[in-house]
Amino acid sequence: MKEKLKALQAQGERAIAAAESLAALEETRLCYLGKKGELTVVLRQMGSLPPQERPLMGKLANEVRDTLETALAKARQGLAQEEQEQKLAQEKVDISLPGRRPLSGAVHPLSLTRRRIEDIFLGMGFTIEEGPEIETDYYNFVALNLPKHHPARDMQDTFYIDGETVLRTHTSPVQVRTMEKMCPAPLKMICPGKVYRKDDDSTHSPMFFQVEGMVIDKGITLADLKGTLLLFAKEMFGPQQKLRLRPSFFPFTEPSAEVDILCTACNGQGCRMCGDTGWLEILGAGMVHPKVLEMSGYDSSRVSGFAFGMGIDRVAMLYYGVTDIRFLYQNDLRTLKQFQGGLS
Amino acid sequence: MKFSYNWLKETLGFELSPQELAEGLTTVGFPVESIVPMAPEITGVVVAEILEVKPHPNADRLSLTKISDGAEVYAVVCGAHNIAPGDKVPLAKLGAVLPDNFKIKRSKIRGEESEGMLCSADELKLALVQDSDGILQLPMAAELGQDINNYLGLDDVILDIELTANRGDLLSLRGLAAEIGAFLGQPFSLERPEDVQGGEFGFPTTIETDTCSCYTGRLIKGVKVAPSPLWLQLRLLACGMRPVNNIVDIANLVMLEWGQPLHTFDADKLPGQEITVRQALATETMVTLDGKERQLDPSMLLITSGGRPVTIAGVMGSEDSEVEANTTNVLVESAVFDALSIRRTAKELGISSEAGSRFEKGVDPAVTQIASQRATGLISQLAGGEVGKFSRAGDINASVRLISVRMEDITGLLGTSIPQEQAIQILDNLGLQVEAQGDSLRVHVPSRRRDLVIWQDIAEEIGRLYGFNNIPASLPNGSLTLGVRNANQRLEWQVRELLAGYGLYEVVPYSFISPEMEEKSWVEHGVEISNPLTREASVMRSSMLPSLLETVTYNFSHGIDSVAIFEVGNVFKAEPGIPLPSQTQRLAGAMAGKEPRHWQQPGVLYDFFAVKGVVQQVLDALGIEADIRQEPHRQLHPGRCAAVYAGGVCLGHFGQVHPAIVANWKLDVEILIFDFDFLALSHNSRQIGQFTPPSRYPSVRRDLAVEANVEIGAGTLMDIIREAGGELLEDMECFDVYTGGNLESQSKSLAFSLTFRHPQQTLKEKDVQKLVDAIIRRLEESGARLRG
Repeated sequence: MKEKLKALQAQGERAIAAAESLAALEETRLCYLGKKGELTVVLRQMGSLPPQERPLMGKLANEVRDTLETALAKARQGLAQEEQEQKLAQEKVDISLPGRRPLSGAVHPLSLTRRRIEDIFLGMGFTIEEGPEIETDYYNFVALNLPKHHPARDMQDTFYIDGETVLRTHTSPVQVRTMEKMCPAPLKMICPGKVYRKDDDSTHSPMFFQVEGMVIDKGITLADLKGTLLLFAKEMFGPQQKLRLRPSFFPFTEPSAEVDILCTACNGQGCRMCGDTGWLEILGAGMVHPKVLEMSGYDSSRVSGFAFGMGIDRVAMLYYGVTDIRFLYQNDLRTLKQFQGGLS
Repeated sequence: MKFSYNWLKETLGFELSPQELAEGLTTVGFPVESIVPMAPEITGVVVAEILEVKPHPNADRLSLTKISDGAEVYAVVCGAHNIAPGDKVPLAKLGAVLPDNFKIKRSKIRGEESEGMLCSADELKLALVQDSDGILQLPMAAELGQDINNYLGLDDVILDIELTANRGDLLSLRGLAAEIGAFLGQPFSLERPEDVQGGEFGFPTTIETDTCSCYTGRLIKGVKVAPSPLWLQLRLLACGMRPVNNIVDIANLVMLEWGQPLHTFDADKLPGQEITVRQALATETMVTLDGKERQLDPSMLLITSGGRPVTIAGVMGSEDSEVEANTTNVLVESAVFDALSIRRTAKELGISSEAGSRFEKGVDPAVTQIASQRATGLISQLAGGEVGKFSRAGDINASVRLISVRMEDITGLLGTSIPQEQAIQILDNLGLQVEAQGDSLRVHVPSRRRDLVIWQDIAEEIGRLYGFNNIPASLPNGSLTLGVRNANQRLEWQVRELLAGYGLYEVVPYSFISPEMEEKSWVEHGVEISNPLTREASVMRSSMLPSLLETVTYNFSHGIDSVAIFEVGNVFKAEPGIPLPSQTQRLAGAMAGKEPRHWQQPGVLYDFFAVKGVVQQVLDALGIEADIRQEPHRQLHPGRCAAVYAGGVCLGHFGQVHPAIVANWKLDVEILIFDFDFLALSHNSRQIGQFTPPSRYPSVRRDLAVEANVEIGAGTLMDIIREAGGELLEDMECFDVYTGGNLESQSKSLAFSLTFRHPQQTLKEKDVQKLVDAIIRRLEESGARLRG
C-alpha cells in the first residue's frame, strides 16, 4: 500500500505539472483528490490493513494529499497568472487612436478679456453698470460737455438714428446715468459694453467694446487716478508695468490724459509694435469736468472724480497677439477654437 | 498739423533735434505722428552759373553749355530753353544721385560729351511754381558751389503734430512756438509787423449778421501776380502746402504765422465796390472755387458784393472772384467768423480746408488786423502795388480773461503740491500774466488761449508742464465698497461657461445687419441707422436669427462642417412715442452640420433633439422648472418647434429653422436654433435648490414597453407614468422609440426604464408591483397598452 501511495503521488505530481489550463487542473484534482478520486479509493482500502499499520499509512496518505494539494495550489497560481497575462495581452488597445473627448466650446476672446478687466476692478470695489446701446444725444454728448456742433464731436464719428438718437460712441452715457442715479452719494463703477463709431480698418471696427470707469467722492485726485490705473496695469499686464500719462483733451475731463503702458511685446525696449517708443496707448482718462459733475447733479465744489476708458478689443489684441481687429468679429470657428482654455 | 522743423528752430533758436522736439511736444500733450523729410534725398547737386550756351551741332532741341560751380567749368548738354549765360541753376555733377535713385553718369549725347545735368524742379521732385518750364532758376545771390540741400533748406523735416480739438491756437507758428517756448522755459511771442502807410482808398464794408464779429478788407492796387520767391515757396512746402502764386502764397504764409486765415479777391471781379457780410438766402446759389454749384441756406454766412455772394465765409471762395495770373487789384480779407457757424457750414457742404479748420476752432481777434498788415505789407513788397486803407466793420473784441485759482484747489485736483513759485513760473513761460495774491493766483488769459476758462484749466496747464509723470500715484481714500456682479451679470457668465462646456462657441457678430438679411430671415425690420457705413450694416437688428444664420453661412463657406454657436446680445425695436428704441437682451444659439464624430461612434447630424438637449441642460443648470410646449413660431419648422414657459411666461423658443429660410440663405442643412429672453431666464432662475439626502435603501428597476397612437406625445405618457408612480418613482428614462415593423401604421412603441426607491425603507416587491399595475392601468385609460 505504501508503494501504491508513492506511485499515486508521483503520478499525481506529473499530471498536475502537465495540466495546461485551470480547467484541466481542476479535472486532475478531481481525478486524484475528489470524492471518487484515486487517493480516496486507496484510503478506502485502509480497513484491510492491520490495525498497527493504519496510523502510519494514514499519516503517509495525508502527506501525499498535502503534497498534491500544494502542487495543485502552486500550479493553479502559475496557470492563473499565465491566463491573466494572456488576457491582458489580448486586451491591448492602440493608445495612439484619438480619445473620446467631452464636447468643448469656448467663450469669445472679447468676453474673456472683458471678464478679466471686470474682475480686477471688482476686486477694487467697483460695481458694474450697464446702459442702452442706442442713446439720446443728451446722454452721449450734451451731458458730457459736448454740446451740439462742438468740434470735439469730430473725435468720434457718430452713427445716427435720427437727429436726437445715436448709437453710443462710448460707454460714458452709462456714467452719466449712474451719476444721476447715485447723486449725491459717492460712486465707484465701471461700465463695459458695445460702442459704435464710423470707422473700419485693421485697428478700428465700427462696433467694438469699451470699458469705462468712474470714481466720484470727496477728495479724489489725479494721483488717485494714476494709482488706480497702475494697479490695474500691473494686474492685467504684469508686475513690471509702468504708466506714462500724456496730457490730452477730452471735453468731459479736465485735466485729461492719454495713458500709455509699457509695450507688452518689448517691455519698453522699443520694437515694431510700439513704433520704437516702448509705450502703447491703451487708455484715455482724466478728472471729471466740473460741468459734467454739475449737469448730473453733483456739487463740483464738494466732490471730485476721475474717469477713464479703454478699448477691450485693443487689450484683447495685445493680450492674445491678434493682428487685425476684424478677426474678432468674423466668428470663424477656427479662430474661436483657439480659446477653449478659457480664462487664464 | 504739418509744420516745418527748421522754421520753429530758427524762430526759437533751440538746439533740439527733430526727435527731441517731438518728444517734448508729446510730453506736453501733442504727439508727433510722423517726421518726414520735406524733399527726397539728393546728393551731388550744387549751385552753378551758366557761362555759355551754344546750339548742339547735331540736335536742334539741345544746347551745349559751359557751366561753373566756382571751382571748375563743366561741359553739359541741356534740353531746356529757359537758360542764358549768367543764370544760377542747380547742377547735378557726375556721380550725383537724384530722387528715384537717378544716377548722373558721364555720357555722350548725339556725339557731344556731357559732364553732368542741369536740373528742373521736377527732376528734384520739388512742387515749385516757375515762370517758365525748364531748368530751376536760382536767385542771383546764390553762392556758387553750395550744396543744393543747404542752399534750399531741403534738409528740413515736416513734423506732423497731433493737436487736440481745444487748441486752435497751435495751428500757427505763433502758438506752436509759444507752446515749445513754454516747455523750454523760454516764453515766446511773435513780433508784430510794421504796417505800411496806406492810401485813402478801399471798399465800404458792412456786417448784417451776428455770426461775424469783425471784418477787415484792404485793397492793393496794381499788383503783379507771379510765382513767389523760392524761400516762400519752400517754406510752404516745408509745412505741407503747395505754392500757387505770390498773392495766394502770402495769404497762406501769414495764416501759418499768425493762425488767421485770409482770403484774397480779385477786386475787379467783385460785382460791387463794397463788401457786405450777411446770412445766405434760401434761394441763393454760388459756384465755388472747385467748380461746383452750391445750394446755400440761411444758416450759412456769406461775404457778398453788389448783392451777390462771393465767398462762403471761411469755407470757400467763388470761382469768379479768385486771384488769377492777370489780376491787378487785390482785396485782402481778414475777419473773425463764428466758429460754430463755420463748422456747421463746412460739414454740411463737405468742404474741409486749412482756413475752415482754423475758423471752426476759433481764431484770435487780437491778430485779425495784424495778420492783414503783415499780408498787405508782404504783397506790396513782393508783388508791388499800392496799399489802401483798412475798411473795417465790427469790433476787435480781444479782451483778456481773468481767472483766479487757489493753490489748495490745484493740489486737491492734482493730488500733489506744486510750489506757488513754480506754478507762477510755468504760467509765465506759457505767456500768461500771473499775480500771486496770498494763496491764490490771478491769471490774465489773452484772447489767444480760448481754451482757458475755468480754474481747472489753469490747474491743468500747471500740471501739464510740471509733468503728469512727476505726479505720484496714490489710491482713493474712502470706505470699503462692495465690488460684486448683480444676479443678472453673474448669470451671463454662468450661461457663457455652461454653453461653452456643452460644446458651443460664443460668437460676437455686429449688431447692425442689412435689410436683405432681415428679409431672408423673415424677421421684423429693426432700427435704421440714418448714416450707415454700408447698406450691409444699416439696421440695428430686431432679432438674433439673421446674425446666427450669417455666422453659420460664413463658417460653412469656409469648409467648417460642424457649427455650434451661441451669443449673448441685444436686439432693438423702435417704439412709437418713446424716445429710445427698446433694447432686449437675448441668449441665442445655433447648431448645424455634423455633430463632432468619433471613430467608435457613427457620425450624426445636429437635429431637433441636439438643441433640445442643450436647452434642457441649461434650464436644469439654471434651476428653471420649465414647461416645453409645441407651439408654432414664424421662423421655425412647423413640426419641429417648441416654446419654453415658466411661471406662465414664455422664456423663448427653440427648434429647426424653417427650411424656406435656410433656402433663402442658400444653405442645404438643418439648422437648429434657440432664442431666449435673457431677463426672463434670469427672473425664473433658482440658483440654490433644496438639498435632498440620498436614500440608503436599495432601488428596484422595472422596464415597460408601451404601444400608443403616434399622436400621443411621449411627454404625455411620461407625465402619466410620473403621476401614477408618485414619490417612490425615483427616475424614469425613455430608452427606446420604435415605429413600423410589426406595429400598426398609426402606432409607436416606447420603452421606459423605471427606478423605484423608498427614502426610509427597503421597498417590498408587492408594493412595487402595485405601483406598476397602477401605472399600466392609467396608461391604458389614456389609450396606450402594454406590449409583450
